[in-house]
Amino acid sequence: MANLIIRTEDIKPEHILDMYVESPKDNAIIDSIKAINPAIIEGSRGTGKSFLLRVAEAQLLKSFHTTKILPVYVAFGKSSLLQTQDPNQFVHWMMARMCSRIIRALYQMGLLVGPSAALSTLLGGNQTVDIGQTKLETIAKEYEESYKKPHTEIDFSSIPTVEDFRDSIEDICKEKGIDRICILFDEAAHIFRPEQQRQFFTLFRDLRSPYISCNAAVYPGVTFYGTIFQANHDGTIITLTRNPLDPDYLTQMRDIVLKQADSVLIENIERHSINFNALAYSVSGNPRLLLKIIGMAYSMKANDVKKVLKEFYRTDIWAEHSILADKYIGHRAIIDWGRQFIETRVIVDTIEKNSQRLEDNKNESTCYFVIHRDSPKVVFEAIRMLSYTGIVTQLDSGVVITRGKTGTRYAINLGCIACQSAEPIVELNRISKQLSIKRFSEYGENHPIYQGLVSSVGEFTEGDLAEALNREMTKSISVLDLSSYQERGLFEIGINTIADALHATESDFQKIKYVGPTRSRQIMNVVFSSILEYLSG
Amino acid sequence: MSANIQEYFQTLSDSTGAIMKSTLIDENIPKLSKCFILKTDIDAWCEVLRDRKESEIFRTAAEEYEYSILSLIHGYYRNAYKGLRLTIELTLQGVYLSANELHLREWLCNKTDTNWAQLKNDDTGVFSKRFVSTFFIGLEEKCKHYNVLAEALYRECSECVHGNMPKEIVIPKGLTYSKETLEMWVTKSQSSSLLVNFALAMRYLNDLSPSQISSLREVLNENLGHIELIRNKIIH
Repeated sequence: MANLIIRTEDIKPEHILDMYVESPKDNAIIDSIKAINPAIIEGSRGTGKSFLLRVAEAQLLKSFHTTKILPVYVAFGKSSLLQTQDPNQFVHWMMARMCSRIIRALYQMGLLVGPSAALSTLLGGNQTVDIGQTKLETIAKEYEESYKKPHTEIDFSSIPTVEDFRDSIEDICKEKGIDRICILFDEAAHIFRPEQQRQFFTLFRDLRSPYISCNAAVYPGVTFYGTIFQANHDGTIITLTRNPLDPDYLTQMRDIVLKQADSVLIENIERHSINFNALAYSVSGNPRLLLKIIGMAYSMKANDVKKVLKEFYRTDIWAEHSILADKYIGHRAIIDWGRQFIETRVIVDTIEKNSQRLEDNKNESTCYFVIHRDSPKVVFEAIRMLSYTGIVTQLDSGVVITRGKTGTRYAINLGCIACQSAEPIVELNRISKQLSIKRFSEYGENHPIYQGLVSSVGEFTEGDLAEALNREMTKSISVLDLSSYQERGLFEIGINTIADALHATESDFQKIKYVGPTRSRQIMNVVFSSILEYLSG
Repeated sequence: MSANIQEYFQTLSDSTGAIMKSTLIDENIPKLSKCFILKTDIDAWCEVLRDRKESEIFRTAAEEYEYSILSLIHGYYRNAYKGLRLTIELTLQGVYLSANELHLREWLCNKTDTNWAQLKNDDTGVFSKRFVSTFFIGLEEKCKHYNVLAEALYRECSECVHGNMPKEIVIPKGLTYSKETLEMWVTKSQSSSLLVNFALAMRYLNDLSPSQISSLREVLNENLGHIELIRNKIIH
């Protein structure tokens, strides 16, 4: 069976460059990340944002002795766990995390030797480094563990202000001969917390200096920038998509799988390349989805691939979307309407259009639709959530539709369209090769289908994350994206809920049969990253 | 009182005999028969290539493959993997050297050596674009895939060669029958079959006469029938 790694967090840093499949587009994104101007990489779950940040980090580390640019990777995925009384907990925690990561990066590059006045700001007042755990690292950890004891008070007095931080970085760079520090923020802002998004982008803007360059990976629709940050002025927004119409699309998707495949999977893909191509098209450029469904259709035989396409795109992919509705009850109406809109309207219209074209012997197909720009805001909100899970991708705005009006164009995941067919493999290989962006379904500003949504949803409000988190803690670990082996192992040792898993230690994991110190660490990491991913969206 | 050497090896032989019995059960026969076809495939290639100097190398490859199956049946699983790796190495070696008679002759009389890095080299190896497009125009789009397959198989079989704890390949401790190991070897052998036949077809198919191609029809159809360019060769 395939044992493919589907999350970047599970790849060892030293293997990142080996796993990278180069393409001119991805190379250009990596160059933007490494450049001095801030870049914001926007993409659905699983499109490879974290991976590209990690590749940029690995390349910068490799060239540090010549470029003197120090990359520092900071992930904010644990923001869901903050539950203190501090109203500025997110800003304080971000600062603490950032300082700790920079210290660690300096240490790993062998740049920290002896006491240094310039470092004391980042060390929370100390001048010497106790690499075991710095004061700010301890504070960051206290914030991250606040979910265990909600409303804990944390002493944040030693966390520097942004100005002190900037000055300190300038001093460190001068003292250590560093040209600049390139900060790579991953999972930068929580999709359901506009306030966190505003705070993050304000910090992002405030950090700007000749000695710091900031880059961030965000989900589509993370658009609450606050009052200071101005998109496209304070950062270049790069949308990470892989277009099935690109000439090297199939080669790139295949190479991504081959990087991890064992000999049997490589053989299966070669013997059934048409089936593989259908799977590659079905994910509409999302590598994580591809690795996931390849694992499910390892034999690559037509019947297995057909079964996976039907089950995955009719049920599994939607289950992930509907989980959002269970977690964020306040958004339920919008999330459920979005699913209904796509399933019962857009997909049906698209299939009809494609069948008509086929009947007319026109070599054209579509997976696109356009929403009129004056449509209710809540409609865009519903589609934003669909683009977060990768069911829909926003392509462009200002698209001219009927009667000279304009709207925003989206693409639906090709698998969601083809899974309705009795022969999804044939359908995918046909429609994907002849997509025409000029063909799309239109939904005007007063389309009758919007009525149900507008009447059932009031003003869009922020979700109560603390309440949501408490609810999630009691859920079974089976909601996590774990392999059946991992899941079985956890149940075997009495870890049944998310709270149990979060509280478990490495020695607890070692109680699983045949699991020693190395594998327990691996399992703990996989479980934890899976929990964070689940909680973050 | 320790047993004498005869008794000692007799005990081992009894163990391997028992493993052979467990291996040759009805359930396993179709799998083993399928694997054995690779030996007959290579023999068929040796027959049509009998006038070429490198056919000696292919003959050795077929022989090593047979020993590899023999090891498998007796429960010498590590050796079975070693044999499989040698089969792959020798076949690719023969194909590689066939493109350079001087090296081939030197190699046959032990004057020079080749190594795996040369065989799988992206620019000059057996599955490099240059090599493939020289002997079979049109198959170059496949070369990367087969190079990755060769590397994966070599890496997996090598886990058993160095004697340390294999990561992917399951090997039981001591002389004992393992269904899991047997089945894994069978899957690796089938992937090897695809690789070996592709390497030979890519290198020689364009040089063969219609009657030679005809004698290889079954071999080609079975292993490479999914590749249109090769299918066309068989038909015409």
